Amino acid sequence: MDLRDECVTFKGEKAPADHISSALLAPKPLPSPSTALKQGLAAGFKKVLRTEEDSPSPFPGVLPGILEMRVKEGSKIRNLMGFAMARMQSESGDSGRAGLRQVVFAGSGRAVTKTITCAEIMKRKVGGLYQLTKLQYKGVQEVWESQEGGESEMTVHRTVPSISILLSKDPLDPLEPGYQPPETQYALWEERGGADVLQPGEKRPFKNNISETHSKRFCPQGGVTL
Amino acid sequence: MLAHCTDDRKTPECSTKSMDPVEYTLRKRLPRKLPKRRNDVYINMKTDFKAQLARCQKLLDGGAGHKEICIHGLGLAINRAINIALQLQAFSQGALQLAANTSTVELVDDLEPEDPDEAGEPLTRTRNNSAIHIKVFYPNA
Repeated sequence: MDLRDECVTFKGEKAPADHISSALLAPKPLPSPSTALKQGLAAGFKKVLRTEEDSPSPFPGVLPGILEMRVKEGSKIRNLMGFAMARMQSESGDSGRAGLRQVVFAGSGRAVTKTITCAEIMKRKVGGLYQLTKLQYKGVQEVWESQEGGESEMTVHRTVPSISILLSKDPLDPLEPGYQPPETQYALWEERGGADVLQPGEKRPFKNNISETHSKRFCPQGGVTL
Repeated sequence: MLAHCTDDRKTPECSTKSMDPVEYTLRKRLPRKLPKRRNDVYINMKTDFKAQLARCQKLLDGGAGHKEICIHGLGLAINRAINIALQLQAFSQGALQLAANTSTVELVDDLEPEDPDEAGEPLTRTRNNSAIHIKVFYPNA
């Protein structure tokens, strides 16, 4: 299973998401994402298209009718959560349907952190959800086009890390790797004696005196920063 | 993350710029340090990626290799933590298994008034950040 596939290398420099190939070659400094983009733009190339390759669902025994939320880099959490919460919380008369009892959040590349944040918000709002987390590599095809002339076109194939989080109202298999029960006190934290995780339903005390009109990004209790 | 800034508020100690008209310096408080077991690895964005990968690999290999290690990542380091875990799995030719858990960590920012004469008292702002904990282990049998 060769994960270091790359059809074309972009002017001899490795893209930042390709930690995979860079780790094995002779020591080369990994360019930061902004450097790579700037060099790409300087060379007159612009990313035109980005398609994700379809990989099979990593969750065994999951019903095909569940809700899958694909989190992209530019997705707004407000929109994602609005849709997902509405689906999960509309219980009236649909409690038997499997579709509203499970939801999958999937994201790759730069959207991974946002995916985790969405899942955490949902766990807090809808308590008692069982979680199953899976990590894999996902293939991505990018098409870069030259700005001047418009003839040359490159297709870059990358593998980026991706995460899939299954949240379910029904109990899941506790022996499955990546399983997380709804309670926040699991064995991992008990050894440390710390409870960094908020209990579901617990509200943070409102300590802030800054008025809302003065700060654009004021996040009252319930706000999440990425 | 706060992105808006003005020049007159840049002081050598502040890591992020504040946007309040009352001059405040924003200083992030470090997340609470947790007692670390020998097989715990915390990932950050400052250390070289290859060095972190080599350290994790060393903890798993060797005569005194641990059966499992736990990789932690907070915020932006989540991506790097996932990358390291997947790389370790790839190098082991499928002998290793991954188990990922997610959690929310509370971070506190201290806001201090820059000018001591200015009206303003030290405030604290709390925000949440996502964290990931990946267990990398050799499955028994």
